[in-house]
Amino acid sequence: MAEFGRLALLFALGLAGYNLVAAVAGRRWDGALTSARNGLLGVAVLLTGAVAALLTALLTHDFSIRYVAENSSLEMPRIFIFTALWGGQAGSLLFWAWMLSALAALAVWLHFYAEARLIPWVIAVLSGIQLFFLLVINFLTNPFEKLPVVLPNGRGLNPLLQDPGMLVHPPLLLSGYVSWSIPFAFAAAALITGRLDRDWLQVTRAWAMLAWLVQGAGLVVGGWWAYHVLGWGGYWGWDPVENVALLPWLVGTAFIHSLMVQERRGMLKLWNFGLIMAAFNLSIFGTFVVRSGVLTSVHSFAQSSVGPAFFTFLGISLAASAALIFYRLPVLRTQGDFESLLSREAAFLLNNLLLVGIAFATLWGTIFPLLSEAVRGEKLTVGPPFYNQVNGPLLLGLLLLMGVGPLMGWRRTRPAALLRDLLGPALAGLVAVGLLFAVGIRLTEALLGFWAVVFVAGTVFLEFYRAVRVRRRAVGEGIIPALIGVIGRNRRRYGGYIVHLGILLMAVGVIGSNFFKLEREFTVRPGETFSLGRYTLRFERLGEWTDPGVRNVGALITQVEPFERELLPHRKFYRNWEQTPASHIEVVTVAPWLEDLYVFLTGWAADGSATIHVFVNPLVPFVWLGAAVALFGGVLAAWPARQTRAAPAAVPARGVVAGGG
Amino acid sequence: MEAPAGSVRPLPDAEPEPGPGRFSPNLKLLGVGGVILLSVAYLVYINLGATAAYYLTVPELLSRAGAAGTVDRVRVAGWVVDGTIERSAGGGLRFVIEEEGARIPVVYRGVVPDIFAPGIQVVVEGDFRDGTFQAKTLLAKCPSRFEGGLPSQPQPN
Repeated sequence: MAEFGRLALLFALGLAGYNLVAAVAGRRWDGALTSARNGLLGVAVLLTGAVAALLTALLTHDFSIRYVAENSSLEMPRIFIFTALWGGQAGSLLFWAWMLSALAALAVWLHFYAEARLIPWVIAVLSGIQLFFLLVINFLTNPFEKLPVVLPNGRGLNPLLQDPGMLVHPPLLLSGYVSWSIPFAFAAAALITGRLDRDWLQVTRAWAMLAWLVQGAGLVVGGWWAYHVLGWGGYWGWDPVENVALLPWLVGTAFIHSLMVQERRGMLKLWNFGLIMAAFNLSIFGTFVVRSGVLTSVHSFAQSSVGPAFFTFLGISLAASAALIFYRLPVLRTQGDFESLLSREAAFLLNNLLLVGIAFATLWGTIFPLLSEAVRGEKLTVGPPFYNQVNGPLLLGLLLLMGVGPLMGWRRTRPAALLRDLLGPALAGLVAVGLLFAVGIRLTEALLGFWAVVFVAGTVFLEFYRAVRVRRRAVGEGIIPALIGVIGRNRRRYGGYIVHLGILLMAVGVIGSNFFKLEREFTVRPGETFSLGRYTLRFERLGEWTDPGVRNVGALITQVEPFERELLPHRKFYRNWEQTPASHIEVVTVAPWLEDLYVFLTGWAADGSATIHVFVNPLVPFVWLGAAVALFGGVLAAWPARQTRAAPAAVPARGVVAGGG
Repeated sequence: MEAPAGSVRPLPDAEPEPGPGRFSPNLKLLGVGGVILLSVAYLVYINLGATAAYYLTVPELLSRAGAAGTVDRVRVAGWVVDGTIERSAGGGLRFVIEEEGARIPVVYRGVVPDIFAPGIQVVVEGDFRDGTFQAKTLLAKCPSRFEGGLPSQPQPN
């Protein structure tokens, strides 16, 4: 298996080099281009083979391979063997390269004829990225490296990673990082060839949406995992490794908004190229940070040899991106002016500035230890308070724009009409704030946040309401069919609004859990009761039991008030990992108050007493609910349109640009 | 495909000259955009000043503290020394961290990370007062969250 995998990686490296050359030659020679396309497919097949080989080695416990011995063991449940595939550095980089090869082959296959002018350079750029990753995998961190001796058993995967969340979080996040390569390749090809019309934008939009969705899902699942496994009662900690994963997503969010300005008005070309280049480079930066250990993170990946290689690649890629944009600068200059501040394009531009501002602040905070050390010789760090205080107001601004923007027309809006539209939602927000005030909520930040949420929800409702009313009058349908019809006719727009609704729900959860969290640690003896907020718990006793490869210690707790129920938070000590037990945290969503009771066993003593950390996390379920809604809306908006003439719309059918070769 | 965006709202094309018109829209947008960018810069600047903490090693902290033994708002990484962890009944925690032979005692009250144990590396943030580190946050750096070295010697087979 090891030999097969090793050979597959070497062949893939050679083939990627060939594809790069053949693609460039393919600008004038069809034969070479076709061969480069097939070669791209070949790389995907070879890397699929390598992944299959590594998976087989893991499943058959081939402990002659270092990676298998370090990341799996005989006792590991079979399902978590899959997580070992991306649980270590070599495996995760192989996964990166594999996903890239699959997406690259798919993208080139789909757009080979329609985007014939761009394709040679698309293949060349993608092959260049593949070449880098394959060099690293082959020569710096080979997953098929042999051990001098065959071990009887492996070390096993870190217990924290043996969790269902780890089955989906890393592959989604890695795929998200990888996906930004495709829009980047098309943007680079457009810049190289000078074909800066709308074609590249259409292709890029589709792939940027995919990347946005996948990475967004990865971030949310990561939050879910942290919340349910790590025991600090939160879902987002502004840790460097989380931050760098957020960066391409933020910039990508800016891009999928601002590209609409270019589609509609032909403006912001330079800005859009800049954003997509930034998203890709931030993806590489993220992988670099995660893999180099250059920043101190709770995630603390091993220091490794791939850091300098990634840093070099990042430098090359940044320089190339900047050079390409500079090269086409004269053509990228904006045509057309903003006609009014009260226009949708202006709102999009401001939204972009806020998103990029948040990304910038987050990046600045994340690399501040490096910056301050370089400039002042002293290492300074910032923590969650910095990010909350900087990004909080910016996010509030973004939320308000989310409400105002969709009500504005392209080019200009009559202020009176806009004000009339905004009045209802603004009043609805005030009513909500009044109600919250009446039930005793006094915190200004929270009231402001909830006002904004209700206000934006009102404007989104207005958009749906008007469209449905128009359609009902025209077609004479019921409300539900009309709603479905409205969404179906313009999935991109209304899908986007559904994403906005999802974000609003998440905002409710974030405001609730940020401002109204309760937490306390109790050290109790058997039979003692303790309470936090409206909850009263009784600690019954400690218990110990074993599962295959795991020793468990748990605290049996009875929730006395407000409902009777049994809780058993416990710790899991995996063989070889006795110092780092995993946890089973009891997270109970209490329906009437929409909050989580979160009970975590911190420790215990020989006298039978236990230390128990209790959180009451209000509204956290809204975070997950909102994420699901946003994801649904995103899929709706991103799903490719069928090529039918069903819509008698005024959009002229864009003829497929005859490829010609 | 995007339907005409203005289809459900009154079209504003009846108004040739929007607004007071003293400044061009581009200029106004530049102004608003500038305000946003300045706010970002301001927020970053103010909060860096208010929240940034020195990140020192234990020996660096001791040399900076000098005879007074006090450094405020600082973050220190070190290894938890075996046998020094004491938990008080009230949920407080005392332990000693060490790096390159230098040691400091730490007191902490709050969320103890999942993997806190003797021998692991922790990062504490807080104030160093009179030779004792009063930690406000305690982070555990799992030495091998994603990567593990093998046990130094394979079990005899």
